[in-house]
Amino acid sequence: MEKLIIAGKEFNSRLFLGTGKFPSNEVMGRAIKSSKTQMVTTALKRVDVENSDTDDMLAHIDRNQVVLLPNTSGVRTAKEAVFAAQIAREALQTNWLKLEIHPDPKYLFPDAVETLRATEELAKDGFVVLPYVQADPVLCKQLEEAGAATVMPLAAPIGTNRGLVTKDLLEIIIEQSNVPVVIDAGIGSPSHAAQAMEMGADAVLVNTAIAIAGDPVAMAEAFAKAVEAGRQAYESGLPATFATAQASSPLTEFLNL
Amino acid sequence: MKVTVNKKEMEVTEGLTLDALVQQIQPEGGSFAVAVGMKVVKKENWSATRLSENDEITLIRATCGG
Repeated sequence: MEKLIIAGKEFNSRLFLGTGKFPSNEVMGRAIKSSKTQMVTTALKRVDVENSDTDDMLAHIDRNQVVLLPNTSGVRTAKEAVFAAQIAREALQTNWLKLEIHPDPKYLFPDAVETLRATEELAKDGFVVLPYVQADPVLCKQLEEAGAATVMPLAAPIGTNRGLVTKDLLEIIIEQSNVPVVIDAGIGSPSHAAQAMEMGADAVLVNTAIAIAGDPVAMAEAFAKAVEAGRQAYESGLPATFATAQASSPLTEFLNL
Repeated sequence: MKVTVNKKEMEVTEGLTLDALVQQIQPEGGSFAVAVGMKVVKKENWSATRLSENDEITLIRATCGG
C-alpha cells in the first residue's frame, strides 16, 4: 500500500480515529492499538478547577506511535477557532489541528465562511490545518489554496452512521484535490469505509461507529481491514462495470448435442 | 482582587503571578495550557505575568472527542 503523506509526514495507516464516546479510556486505548491508526483526535475542555480529574485520556495514547490531532470542536467563529488552536498548540505541543467550526447544534454542519477564514490565518501561523467541511468541491479547492494540509469533507452528519450520503460530491472532490482527502463524519460501518477508499479517498476518520459498537476493540480492527482492503482495491485498478452480461466461462456450446 | 478562572470567580492576592495561581490551583490530569483573556501565555512566561483585577483566566486540557 502506498504511504499517505500529510505535510511531509508519512502514515502507514489510512484510518484516523476519533476518541469520543468510548465506554472508557481503557477501551479507547485498546481500540487505538487494534485499529493500527497513526492519527488520533482529541477535543479540548476547561480544566475543572474544583474537582480533580484523575483519568487523563492522554495516558492511554502512545504519542510515539500516533500523531495527536486536537480539534476545535465547540467554537462557532474563526476568531474562537484561532484561539482554540493556539491554546491546543501550547497544551499538547503540536501544530497539527483538526479545524471544525460548527455553530449549528442539530446537524453540526461546518460553517464554510468561518472555516476558510480560520484556515487562511492558521496556515500562515504555521499550523498543519485539517479542516472539517461540507462536501463542497469549490470550498475544498479554496481551502487547498488557503494552505490546508488536507480537506476533510463529511459523508453524512457527525455521529449518524449513515454512510456516504454525499458520495457524488466526494467523488468530484477526490478528482480535483491536490491535497489528501480524508472522508470524515457519517461513516457507520466497515463497508462504508471500504467504499470511500475504493473511490480514491486518501483516508477516513471514524469515531462513533467504533466507539459505540458492541465491541469497540474488535470493530476498530474490522475498520482497519476494510480501509486496507478498499485502498488495495483502488491501487489495483477497479474493473469497469457493464450494462450487459460479460461471460466469465468459455461459451463452447458443448451442451447443444 | 477578583479574577475568574474558567468562568468561576476567585479572590486572589494583588499582583499574583500566573505561575503562583497555577500552583495554587494545582490542576491534575495531564498537560494543560493557560490563557489570560484571549492571549495564550507560554509556560516560560507564567512567572513574569502579573494578574490584574477582573482578568479572565482559562485553563484548557485535552479530552476525548472526534
